[in-house]
Amino acid sequence: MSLTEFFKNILRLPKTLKESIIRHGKPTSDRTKSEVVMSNIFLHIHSTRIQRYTLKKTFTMGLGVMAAASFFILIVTGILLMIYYKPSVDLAYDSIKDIQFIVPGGRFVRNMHRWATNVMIVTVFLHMARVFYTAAYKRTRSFNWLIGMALFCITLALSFTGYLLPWDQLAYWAVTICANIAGSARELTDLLGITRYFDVGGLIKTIILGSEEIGQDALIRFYWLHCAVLPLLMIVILSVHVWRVRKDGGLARPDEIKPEELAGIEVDEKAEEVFNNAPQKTYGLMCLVKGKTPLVNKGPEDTIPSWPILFIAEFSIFMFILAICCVLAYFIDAPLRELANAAVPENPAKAPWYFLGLQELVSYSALMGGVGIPTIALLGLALIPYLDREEQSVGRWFDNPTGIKVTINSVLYSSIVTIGVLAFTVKFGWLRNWFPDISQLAIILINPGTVLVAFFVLWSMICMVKYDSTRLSAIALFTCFLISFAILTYFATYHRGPNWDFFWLKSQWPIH
Amino acid sequence: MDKFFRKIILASSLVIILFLLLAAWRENLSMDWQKYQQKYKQELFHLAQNDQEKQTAEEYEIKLRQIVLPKLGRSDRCVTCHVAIEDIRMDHMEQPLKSHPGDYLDKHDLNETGCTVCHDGQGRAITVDAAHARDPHEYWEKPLLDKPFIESNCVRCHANTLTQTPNYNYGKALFKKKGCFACHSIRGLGGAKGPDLSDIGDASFHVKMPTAENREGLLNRFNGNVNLAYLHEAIVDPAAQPKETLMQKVDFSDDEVAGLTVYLKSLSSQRRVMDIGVSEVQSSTPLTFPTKSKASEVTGASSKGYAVFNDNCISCHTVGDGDRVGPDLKGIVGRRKMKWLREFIQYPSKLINAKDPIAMDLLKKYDVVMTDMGLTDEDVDEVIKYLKNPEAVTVVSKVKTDTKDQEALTQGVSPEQVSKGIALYQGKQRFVNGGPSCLACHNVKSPDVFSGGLLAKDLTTSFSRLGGMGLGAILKNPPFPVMKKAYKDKPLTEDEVSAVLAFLEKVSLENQKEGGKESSIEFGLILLVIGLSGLFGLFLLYFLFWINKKNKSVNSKVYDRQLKSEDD
Amino acid sequence: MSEEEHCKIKPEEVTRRDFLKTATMWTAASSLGLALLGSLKFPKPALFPDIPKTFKIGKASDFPVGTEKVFKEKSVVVQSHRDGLCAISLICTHLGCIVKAERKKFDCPCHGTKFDDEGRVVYGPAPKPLEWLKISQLPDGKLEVNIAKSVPLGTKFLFS
Repeated sequence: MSLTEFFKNILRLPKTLKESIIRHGKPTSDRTKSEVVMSNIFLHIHSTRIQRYTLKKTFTMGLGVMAAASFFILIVTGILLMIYYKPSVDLAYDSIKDIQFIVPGGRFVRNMHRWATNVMIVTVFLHMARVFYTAAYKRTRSFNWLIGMALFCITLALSFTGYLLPWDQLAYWAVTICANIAGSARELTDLLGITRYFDVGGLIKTIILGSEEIGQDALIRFYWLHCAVLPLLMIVILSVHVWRVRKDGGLARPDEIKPEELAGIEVDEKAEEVFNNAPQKTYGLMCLVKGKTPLVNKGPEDTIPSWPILFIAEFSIFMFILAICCVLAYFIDAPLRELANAAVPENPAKAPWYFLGLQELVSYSALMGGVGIPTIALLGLALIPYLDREEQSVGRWFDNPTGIKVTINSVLYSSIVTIGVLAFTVKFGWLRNWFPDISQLAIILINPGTVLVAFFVLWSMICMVKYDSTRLSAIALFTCFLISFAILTYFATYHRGPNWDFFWLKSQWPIH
Repeated sequence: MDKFFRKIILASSLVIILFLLLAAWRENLSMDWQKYQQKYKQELFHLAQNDQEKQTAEEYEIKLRQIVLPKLGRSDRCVTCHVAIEDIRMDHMEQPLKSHPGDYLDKHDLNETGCTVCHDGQGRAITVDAAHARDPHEYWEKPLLDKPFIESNCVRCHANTLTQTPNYNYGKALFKKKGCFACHSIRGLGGAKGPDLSDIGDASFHVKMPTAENREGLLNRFNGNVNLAYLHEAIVDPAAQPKETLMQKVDFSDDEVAGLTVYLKSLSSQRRVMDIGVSEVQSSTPLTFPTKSKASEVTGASSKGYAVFNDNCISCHTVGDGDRVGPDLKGIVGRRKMKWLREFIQYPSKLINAKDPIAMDLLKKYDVVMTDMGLTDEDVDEVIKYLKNPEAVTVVSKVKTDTKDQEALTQGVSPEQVSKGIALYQGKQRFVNGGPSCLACHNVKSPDVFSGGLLAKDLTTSFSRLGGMGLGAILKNPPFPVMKKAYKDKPLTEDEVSAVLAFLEKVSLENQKEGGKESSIEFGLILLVIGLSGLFGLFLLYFLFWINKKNKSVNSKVYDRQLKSEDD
Repeated sequence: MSEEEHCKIKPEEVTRRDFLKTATMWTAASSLGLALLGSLKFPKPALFPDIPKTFKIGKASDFPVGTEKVFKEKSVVVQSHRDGLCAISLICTHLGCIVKAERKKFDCPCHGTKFDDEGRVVYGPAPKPLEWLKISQLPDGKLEVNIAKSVPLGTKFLFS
């Protein structure tokens, strides 16, 4: 009877619907646990089984997931803010005020967006440092390091473009500075006397701003970049980044793992079996995956099902970041100053904090600080996996005791050098103060920024010769740049006041 | 392991719930305006005498309220707390439930003008602190104005002198009397030695000085109003100004300071009427306002003195063009004793304080105290040399006018004024006193208007020829017979004069710009060169592609063969 | 269906339910639910940026019996009858077009609805008569029409 069948089907609807969506039973067995992961497009960014080492808390510290989590928060809050934000010079500032005052939860969502940005930048920085210090860019992962660099740049570009949108004094002048940094190639072309014919700096600046000055065109461009282009790029490239991690067989891990390193991580009893180097029967498909091939009917070495433990771990990190953002958003409001005024510059006009290290360098030479040194640094970072091709164990912080020693020495060295150069510059000035008529070329070539770079390169060379290792030399250089960047950022944030003069405390700033 | 992560989730979730609830509470349940509106509702019940009033009280909703003014770009939510502002029964209540004092709301419909147009403050805010915008650490713009200072906002709309603004009127008169515009200019009128004060009312601590620290005393005096604190300090203590200032400390009385502060506060970009009070003096002696001409080359025996005169004296004095704010200085060297002249030029205040009879006479006549301009002995020598022999200077003006300077000047003119000027000029908008439109007799080359009559002079370049002051004087008091007759009983108002001036200024600038198109030709030349070289490059590229090409088509052989066979 | 079930390996019995596990699940779900709830509220602002819902029409003495004033910007007509003032909205109850106020009737240009002099539907698709709006007197004697508040058809307000 089809009629009774029909009514039965209606009654069975909830069950059949559920079964059509989730096509496996409760995740209790190894098989169903794998099915949970495999049959879900979102969960299948992970493999069904993971190495136990991956879950070691002190190894990754969850930094990559933290960055991804804050990006997720940014997308959600950003989409919400887009409902009210009006990208027009006349309306932008007022729309932000309205978000603050009359939108339900508007102030909280805006604060969340602001704080998630900062969390993301910090975690992206730290994630990069983690990958570097654990040598996780080696072997098959070289290109993924490059993708990571691209993501790093997009992160900075996203937060920079978002900085202008409130259209207040802080935003306006911070972006003015950054736009001028982008246009600083003019310094070089001016020097060569070819600016009239070949104005790269001006070209870049006008392309970014859509005009000579920051105005409506710049605002709409920044809005376009911030809300459409860059997030899209970010999502696509981030997918590739994660997918490649998966294709490279999960996170990097040491070849020899001592049992005590895995203390406290769950064990799968069935996975005790060790690989046989000459298996009789293997999964042919696995040829696509780099590494050793597993045996049939035997669990692969030292792995556990990724469901549920890996997902719980990642979810916990997400909730942790969300909680941090909530607390910060509740207590500290995102800054909003007066309406942008092109006639009255802020003094000091400071870029967003993550660019302040650069701004310090820019105060010596716009070209070197704004273009030269960042290019050198980014290029150097990008080339690390191609220049350092030493065979070594990956997946341990600083590799070994020698690595730790080199790192500590580099931290000390770069701190002393950076603070020394800063102190010298503050106390005695630089070439222009001594020889007022000196050519700009000399300043471009010899300024505190380039001197620092020279010191660091020298140190890295010394390490290379002393330890006869490119990896240790890379560690030395990376540490020097990292520490120096941190010190410069701190210095520019807290000790630079009006006219970019040095002050110990903000209360010492002159009245005018 | 598992437990560790679960604990993190648990703890984080609890924190998230806590703070979301806190945020919701802060936003929805802890707002002051709700309490005020409750109180108002109770008062309505209390006052209700009949059923209808009781019903109104019952129907009174507790909600956010606002006045939206699309034309002014404002949303004033002040009425969210000040709910009883129009309710005259609430005269006895305390703020914020008090009704508006005076009869101001009769003439200013709340739904048309709103609150912040007169009172300032942050109209969009809905908390007391943010709306009054008085916290100097929060970077809020336009803090609420208190009693005397609120007068400065009346001139945003009212062109004529109001009896309700005694402090403003006093300050405006003082600004003229104390000779402030010897150094300061407002909308291009006045000296260039000190900073331009056109928009000084918008200046605040945050834009002029980075920190509000160490200024608590000053800020407390003005209820945390950073704008007023800045203006007050600028008037009372010139030494506190950032740059090396030439301004000297003047001992003003408290009333005078208050008046000047109100006046300066009124000088903002939102001000529709710009009248610094010199125009009445000007209209009797129409003359152009000689601006310091950077573009001209000065030669001659007295050239140094001419420069000093140009820098310091020209805002108030002329040589041979009649009295202005101060006396005409032609032949002054013959009229006064040298010693007196030297002293008076260098330290006028000294002589006035010493009640020198001549100085007192002058003060009585012109009613403006001459300012100490800080001249050196040498400056005085040179200036006297120049005044002795003003003809010994030849000024060669370079033909090219500095368009950049001119543009900077026009930026001060608001587009509304220009469009009003266009309307007035064409007669689309009538002059208040019924004078005929300009278009009837005058022609102007401008895309904005049709060509006009040819009865009188073409006005295209009138502004650059006569300057704002001269033209203004002509418009107010026409010296030409026909024009004089036409406008005899129908004079233009100040507002109209400035609007028409703004339009003429724009026209003359546009025409100047059209004159200077050489640069674009140069640019075109560069483009041509680039294009030609690009073409050449393309040819080269093609050549590279073609170098191995056969010069006949592929099947030409076959074709030829066929032709041949046909021949056979 | 039975085939599918057959293929499955029998799930193991869940013997122990950890308290931590359940608590975690529920708090996490509720925290995210709360966040979702909050963001669902986000798109509706507490105040809309439109012109006020109430507007003043002057004093009662400005409306002698028989006058009719159309407030075009607000789409309201105010009529003065012997038994009091009334304000009728000119917005068609069908799909929101603005009806034309003519002598003793209102015509809607969009879909041809015709209303009689009191706003009742005479012909056409409109489901309801035109709205009558509340007029109230402010303490200073001025009259105010509230567009957001409708009163039953035929309600007239008498002011002194």
